[in-house]
Amino acid sequence: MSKESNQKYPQGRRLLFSLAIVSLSLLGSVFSAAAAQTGSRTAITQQQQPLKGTVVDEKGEPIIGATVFVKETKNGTATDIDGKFSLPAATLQQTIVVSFMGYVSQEVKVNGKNDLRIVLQPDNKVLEEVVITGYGTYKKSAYAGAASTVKTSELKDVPMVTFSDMLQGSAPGVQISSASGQPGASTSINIRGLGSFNASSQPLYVIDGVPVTSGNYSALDSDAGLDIMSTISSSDIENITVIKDAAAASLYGSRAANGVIVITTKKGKVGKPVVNLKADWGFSDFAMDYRPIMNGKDRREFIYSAIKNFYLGKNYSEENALEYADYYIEKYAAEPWCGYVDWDKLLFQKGSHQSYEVSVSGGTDRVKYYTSLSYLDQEGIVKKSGLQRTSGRINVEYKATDKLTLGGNMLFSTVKQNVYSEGASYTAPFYAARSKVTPSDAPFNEDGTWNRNLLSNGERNPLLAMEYDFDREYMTRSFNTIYGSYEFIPNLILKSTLSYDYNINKGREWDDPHTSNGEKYNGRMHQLWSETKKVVWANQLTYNITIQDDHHLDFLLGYETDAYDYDYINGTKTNFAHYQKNALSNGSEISSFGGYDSHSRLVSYLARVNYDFRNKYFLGGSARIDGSSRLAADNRWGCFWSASAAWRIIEEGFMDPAKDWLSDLKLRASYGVNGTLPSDYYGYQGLASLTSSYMGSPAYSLSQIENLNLGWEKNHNLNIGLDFGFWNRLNITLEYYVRRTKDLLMDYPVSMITGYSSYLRNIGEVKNSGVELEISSTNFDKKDFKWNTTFTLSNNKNKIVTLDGDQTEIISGSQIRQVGKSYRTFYLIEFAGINPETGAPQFYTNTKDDNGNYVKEITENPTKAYRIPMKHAEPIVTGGLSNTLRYKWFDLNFMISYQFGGYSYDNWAQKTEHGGSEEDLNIPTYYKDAWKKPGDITQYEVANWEQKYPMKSYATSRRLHSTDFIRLRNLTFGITLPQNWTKKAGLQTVRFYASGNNLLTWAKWDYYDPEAVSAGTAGWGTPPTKTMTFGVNITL
Amino acid sequence: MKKIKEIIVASSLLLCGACGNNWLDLEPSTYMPTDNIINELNDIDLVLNGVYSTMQNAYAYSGRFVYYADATGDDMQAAKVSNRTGSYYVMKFTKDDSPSTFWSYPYFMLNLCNLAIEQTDKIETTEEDLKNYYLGEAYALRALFHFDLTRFYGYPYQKDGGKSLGVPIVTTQLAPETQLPRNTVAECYTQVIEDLKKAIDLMDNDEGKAFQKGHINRWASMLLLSRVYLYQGDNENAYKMATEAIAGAEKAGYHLWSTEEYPTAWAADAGDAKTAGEVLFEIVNTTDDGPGNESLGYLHNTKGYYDICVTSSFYDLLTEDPNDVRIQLLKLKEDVGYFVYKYQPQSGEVIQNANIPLLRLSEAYLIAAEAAQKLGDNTNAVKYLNPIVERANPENSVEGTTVTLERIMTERRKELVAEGHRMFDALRDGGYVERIDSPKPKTPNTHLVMDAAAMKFNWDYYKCVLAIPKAEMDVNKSLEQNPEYGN
Repeated sequence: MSKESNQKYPQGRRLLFSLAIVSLSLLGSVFSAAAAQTGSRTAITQQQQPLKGTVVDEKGEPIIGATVFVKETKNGTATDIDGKFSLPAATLQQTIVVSFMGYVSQEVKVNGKNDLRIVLQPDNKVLEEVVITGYGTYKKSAYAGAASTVKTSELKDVPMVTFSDMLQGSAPGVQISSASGQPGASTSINIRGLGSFNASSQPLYVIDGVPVTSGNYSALDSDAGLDIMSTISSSDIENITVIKDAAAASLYGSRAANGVIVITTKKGKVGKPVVNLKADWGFSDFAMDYRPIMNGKDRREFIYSAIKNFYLGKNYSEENALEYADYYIEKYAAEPWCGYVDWDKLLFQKGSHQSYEVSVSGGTDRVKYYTSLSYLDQEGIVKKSGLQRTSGRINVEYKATDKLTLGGNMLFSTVKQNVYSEGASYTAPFYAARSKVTPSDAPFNEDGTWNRNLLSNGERNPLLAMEYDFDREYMTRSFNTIYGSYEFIPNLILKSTLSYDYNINKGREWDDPHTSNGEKYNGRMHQLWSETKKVVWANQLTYNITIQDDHHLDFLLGYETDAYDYDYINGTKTNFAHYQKNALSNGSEISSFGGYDSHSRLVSYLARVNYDFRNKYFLGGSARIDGSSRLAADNRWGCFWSASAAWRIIEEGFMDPAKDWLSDLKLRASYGVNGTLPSDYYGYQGLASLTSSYMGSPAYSLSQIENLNLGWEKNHNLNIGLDFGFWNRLNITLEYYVRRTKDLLMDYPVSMITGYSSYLRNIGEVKNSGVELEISSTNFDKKDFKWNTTFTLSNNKNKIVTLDGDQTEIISGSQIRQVGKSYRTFYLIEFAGINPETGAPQFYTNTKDDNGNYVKEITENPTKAYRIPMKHAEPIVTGGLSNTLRYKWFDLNFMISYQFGGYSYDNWAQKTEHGGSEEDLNIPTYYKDAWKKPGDITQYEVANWEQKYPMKSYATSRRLHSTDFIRLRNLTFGITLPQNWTKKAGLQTVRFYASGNNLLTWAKWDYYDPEAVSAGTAGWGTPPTKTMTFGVNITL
Repeated sequence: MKKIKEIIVASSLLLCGACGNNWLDLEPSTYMPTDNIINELNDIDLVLNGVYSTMQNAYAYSGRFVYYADATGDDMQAAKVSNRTGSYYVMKFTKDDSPSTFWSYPYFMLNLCNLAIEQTDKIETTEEDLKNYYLGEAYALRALFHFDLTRFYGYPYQKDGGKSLGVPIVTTQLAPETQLPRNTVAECYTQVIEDLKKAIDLMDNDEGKAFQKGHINRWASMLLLSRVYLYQGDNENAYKMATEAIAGAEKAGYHLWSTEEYPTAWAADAGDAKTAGEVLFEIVNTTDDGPGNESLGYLHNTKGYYDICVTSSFYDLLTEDPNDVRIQLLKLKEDVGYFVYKYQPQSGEVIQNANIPLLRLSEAYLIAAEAAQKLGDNTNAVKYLNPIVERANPENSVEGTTVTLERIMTERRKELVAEGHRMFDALRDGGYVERIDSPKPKTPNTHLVMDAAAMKFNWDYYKCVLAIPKAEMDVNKSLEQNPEYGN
């Protein structure tokens, strides 16, 4: 060829050609050099001038905190409050990835451009709720179980003092009650009805994946209690998921029968440090007028007529009767030297609270952190009561290598509670103010000394006791979790978590030498100290795989141990040198000293598999084997399991025509078995107690019957759910469930002639069934105006199926446990009103005729009247309505909760009805309507010193009252200052807010607060309070 | 390949760090397995301590079991209806709220007694006397509980010769689901007498005859047996047993308190004494296992709950002789009433922890006198009544007189007030509890308002016995409720 070319082209032309080639190539190289130069110049520019950009949403609003990273190098940053970011120089070939929760991630090729404007589109799927079960996190659309999620981001504006405030009304099927409104008081939560009678009916609490200690940790065993959840600052909580069915709960096995509350605390996000400051202040008062009593004058009038009526009834002349009344009235209702006394003013106060919080969070692609510190100081509505908490948290996660991740969550919290008695002790503030101490009792004598001669209380002056005596609780909790996970091959992860939940509780109870409680001892100090340790070690191997794009599988295998240790010591000393120096060592006599320890352990093996096909068909199954120390060796291993399925109908082709209005349609079903352990750690053993003694010698006492067959309560849980979505705006979730709890642990009563009164057996069965409805709607979603509404409604029906197969009813105080009826069915004499002619109370005899029907014969003799089962404590419907509105700078939230169909029994009427039996107590205001003359139609009997059958001595249906209420649970109004103002001050956001809890209440029976009820019984606990809060929230 | 090995090793290490079944075997720190408590003779003593310790409870012998017959009688009354003793005083209880502790505590203790009785035989020991003494204690206590149950729930023996219903007799440890019907009052008495005879025999040794602080011994058992005979109307045996008790006890060092000792002996002897005095059997309460505010010490004290005081009629009766030493036990609480200071604390202790004398030598004298009088033996009636009369006021004497039953009963009221006797004493021979105020009350208190039927009653009043508690009736289907309480 060269020969040929040589031949073809002469030398000169060849040269020319060569030159042309050379010049062309030169030109090319010039071009390419030029191009290369441009390129390197760009690179240099970027190294000197970083790549800048802005991330905005579909409406053009800046997105704060969006993650921006370079795909190739994994270097990243986050957007600032203007949505702006800057990255070190990138080359033309580089691509940045921009992502933000709730939006579709975008990859952007830089292509040499700068000042990028990146618009993120909302991702409707991601915007959905996430269900965090503790053993996994699911998109709600891919979740087959029943769970309610409380997104704290929506509640962040609402100042919450306690954790349970966050759940109130937000999660359908969750019922919260507390016998006391004292700060820090223990709360009881029932999910989908009462599933256990004698074992705990409380859900399992899981914090950041670790089952934790829960419930009342009061060292003094106070009436109000001290909830261990009060150690946690609600601002640290990111998400609360309430698991209600078996699908996810069964993985928690033997502790999950009453549901699981999964709490996730806040984690850091990639980006520069975000500092959040929050402070609020406020005050509180009774939410409703609580058990009002007659004032001095009204009381005097009532008693006067009672004495008069007594003598008239004994056939004294009117004149003589009045003479007696004039004489005795000075004994029972005299006006004291200082005028009639309002003891409320002496014993109660307006509560107040203040809280301060600071948190710093942030992260890089390797380390994420969240730290916080908070202080809370609450004063209760009873003088000298209150709670203080200091709590700190650090959550850190560190990606050590591509495969190894290490992390830790640490909580340190101290709580101090000043508590008071809520029982019927003479100096308990509520019992004193509402019953025992009357307007005729002066707190002081005229000479300024304490009045120690009260009408009914004698020398027990409650104000004096309040002045010197105290009950204090201290709790210090250190809850630490460390974990490490290792990814062997992609998606095959082994995670090991070790958690140590350590709690010290102390109680100090001081009876001062000045008071009726302590003077006989010359001062008495009772001090208690307990230590609780819970060590959980959990190991999980998980694997996710997608086969042929359509089949998604995830597997989990686990092994866990849980060891709980409790150690307790307490002592009492008396006879102190000086009342202000009441250290235990200063007491000169020991009156008691004791201590013990107890333990409980659990070993578990678990497995789970989830499968889905094209995100359309979902199947899941789980199994857990638990071994517990609370059961006999041959009976202690139990297997719990669940199966679940879901069908996203909306994904089917045949749904296409409906897709323009129907955005979601999903059918879910789950069934499974989980359990409840006996509360008693040693309940199966036949035991002789060693704690009693006689004359300094030890003693044996037979205390418990052996039952080696003792087992778990088994909860069979069926749930069927249906999810609808319309126009991506309106979402409706409907759930139907049946919970059957079998082998209920019952204290089976035995004849006392055996020397025992009962023993623990798996006897009963209870069924809870119901429906839950949740409707959430986005009414407006404009740039300047947003309005969301959520409505929840739930209904639960509780029914005892079997007690022991032998007995069909067990009477328990004012309630009866009867087969076929709700657990808390009342059992009372039926009140038949007041005889309009005589003013005497009447009752229905309720004997049974041959057909078993009650005979409604009226009698004035309650001993001739039979008690019958009537009504029940459990409400038929409960729920809430919440609205979130946002207009420009302003936001408004309000939540209304309601409850209908339940009743409560006023247990304390036995003390207060007719003002007691001796006219030396307070009289409820409703006795103003007492019968006065023939023809009066009323519910309250005539005032008479002598009552043949005093109402206070008989448990009648007159004490039964509806607990229906509608309550404005929360109202919050906030102003967020415009960012262009706050930016000048170097602040990201500044928000001021005012918020009120329980501002308005409508109650069908409003003599006492319908929520001051526990287990169907209204006691004299502190009622719920109405709280006003003013606060400011600043993000730097 | 290496990776797979790595996965298997690491995973199995973490997933199968299996803690065995043994890791789950835990025992409580304050209990023993029931099967394992009796191994040697000393363990029987610990079981008996369990009985005494239960007796200490204010719902048992440090409170309710004792004040019951005082509150329901006519010599004492609740200062207020709302007091702890108020419901007993106005005879308020119905079948629905009849307090369960009158039933549950005795049976709880009977179970322990039966455990002791069943197990003692199996123990090999060389300390034969001690073993017999423990066994004797168990029998005597078993008799006491059956007898008190019969007093609470069964009509007086002499009402119908014991034909009416008493309580189920329990002489063995029962299986958990056992249900037994009520035995007749007569059957209960038979069992009580048999047990006491056994106890007296078993305690016929140095251990049983000695002063046993806080424990029942031979002399206390004899006194109890004489009381049972007296209730039964068996005056011969009552006399015989009471006089034997007196003779034996006095030989063992027991003696009646002197007039001078009397006002303070309640604290000194019934409390601190380490040697025999007048108290044959008492419950010893101490600071670290005190019965609390519901105890007799607190209820009877003007600095406690001042719950139960003497009636105006009894005040008149006791102050007939203004020099009666027993008046010194009365303490006035202004505007409330006179309180009986028999439950006095031991030195260094608070009033709640006062000891509870249950069997006192004085009662043996009174029983001997009463039985003798009923047998027509005035000599011995005088012989045994006089020491009590003379002690109350050394200037008084019944010597040389013919004492009437009423005279003896009046002395018994004065001597044993506040010790849990009155209603039983008033009704056992067919008499009445009669709550009438003195025409000119010298006490701040008079009787409170109550059902007319409770103002004066004898053994025909249905509330002179308690209703069997509802919790028991609900479970034990073989029981019959006391008449007139309704279903």
